[in-house]
Amino acid sequence: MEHLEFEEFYEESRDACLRAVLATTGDRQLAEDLVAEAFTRAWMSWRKVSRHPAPHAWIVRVALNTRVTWWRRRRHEVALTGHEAVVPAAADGPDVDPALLAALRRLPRRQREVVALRVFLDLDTETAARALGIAPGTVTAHLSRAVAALRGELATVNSQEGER
Amino acid sequence: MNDNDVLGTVRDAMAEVHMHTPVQQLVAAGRSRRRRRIAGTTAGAALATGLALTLAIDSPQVNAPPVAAGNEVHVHLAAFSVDTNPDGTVTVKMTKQESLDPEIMQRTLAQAGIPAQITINKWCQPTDESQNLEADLKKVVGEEWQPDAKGDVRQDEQRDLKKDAQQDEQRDRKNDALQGKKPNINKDVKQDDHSGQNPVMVITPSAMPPATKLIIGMRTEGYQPDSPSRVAVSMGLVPDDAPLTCTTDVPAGSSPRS
Repeated sequence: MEHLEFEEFYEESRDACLRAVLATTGDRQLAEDLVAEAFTRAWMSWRKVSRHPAPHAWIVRVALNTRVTWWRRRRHEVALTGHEAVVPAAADGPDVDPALLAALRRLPRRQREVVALRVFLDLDTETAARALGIAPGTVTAHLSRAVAALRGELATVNSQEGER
Repeated sequence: MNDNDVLGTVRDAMAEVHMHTPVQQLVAAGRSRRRRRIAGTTAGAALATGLALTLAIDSPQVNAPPVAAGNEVHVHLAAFSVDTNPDGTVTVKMTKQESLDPEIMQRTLAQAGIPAQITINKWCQPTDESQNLEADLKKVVGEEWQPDAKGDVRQDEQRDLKKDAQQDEQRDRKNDALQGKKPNINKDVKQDDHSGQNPVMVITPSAMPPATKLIIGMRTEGYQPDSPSRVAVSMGLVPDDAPLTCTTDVPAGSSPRS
């Protein structure tokens, strides 16, 4: 029963979670790995996660936290081995608009996270604020700034495409 | 382009992004991780148990069983001491009943040639009173008192105390007989009578009839404080196979003295 519930949850929310994490990380493969890791942890703690008010927000939060952990681990490995820092994999896959990803990547991290939760998970301001651990007013402010920045980026992209 | 248009454009741009990882892969990874976690926990528990056992085996034991040299035993532990005397008697000194491990004391006494059954806050008597070998018990067990670290009782005072106790016991038995009371035929050592001293028993193993054992019930400090009985240790001598009836109530004692 629990397994079926989890499967259903996965089918319903996996794409939205992936898009949210992709919008934040800008790395298609990394985003898929992070989301898979978060869903695996969700399966292991499904009793707890299933009772979460916004389980898909939990997934995205865990994925982003995992990214920080992985990054720290990689950074540590770099320090030990003396190799160059890990270069992010190519951000854009065949199913992603590279110009949009580039525009998102230029946003500050917190603004990207707010966009991810509000746009791809369709969370309201309160829930997004709880998921990010910030005040609702801060969410609104971040979203407003992000939209303003993206509007400029998208206008530039559209004008460049129009010139071609 | 208003705010909704901007957000709509972002949403549409990602419309073709799909998660390709099959759910079975996640579930398999979760199961595998869970198994490892359980195995780790089990291994941790096993390691802890092993460590505890190692410590228990390797650490010097407070109540370690004695090493007997022939039938001679000289064991001095926190709870009791057992010493074989040159005349073949065995001196048993109780020092701290609270920390006494009855099994270890039984083994120690057995190595000193004294079969015994020891109980803490539990007193046993043969179900058939005719199996209580009172006459032999008197030959087997002598009782004396020694001061502990706090006490300071000289040998002559000990003798006086012992004599007084014997006289009191005889007087009380007579009184019991006059009053028609049924005496407790076990040998009792009382608390308080010798405050600050430890009960010392001198046991003569050779006086024990074949196939008999001592039954020794000990009372820890503070056990049934409301009981009027002041019995600290109660002893009896019974055949090995005598059925016993036991109680956790402190025995009344053979010679209650006020």
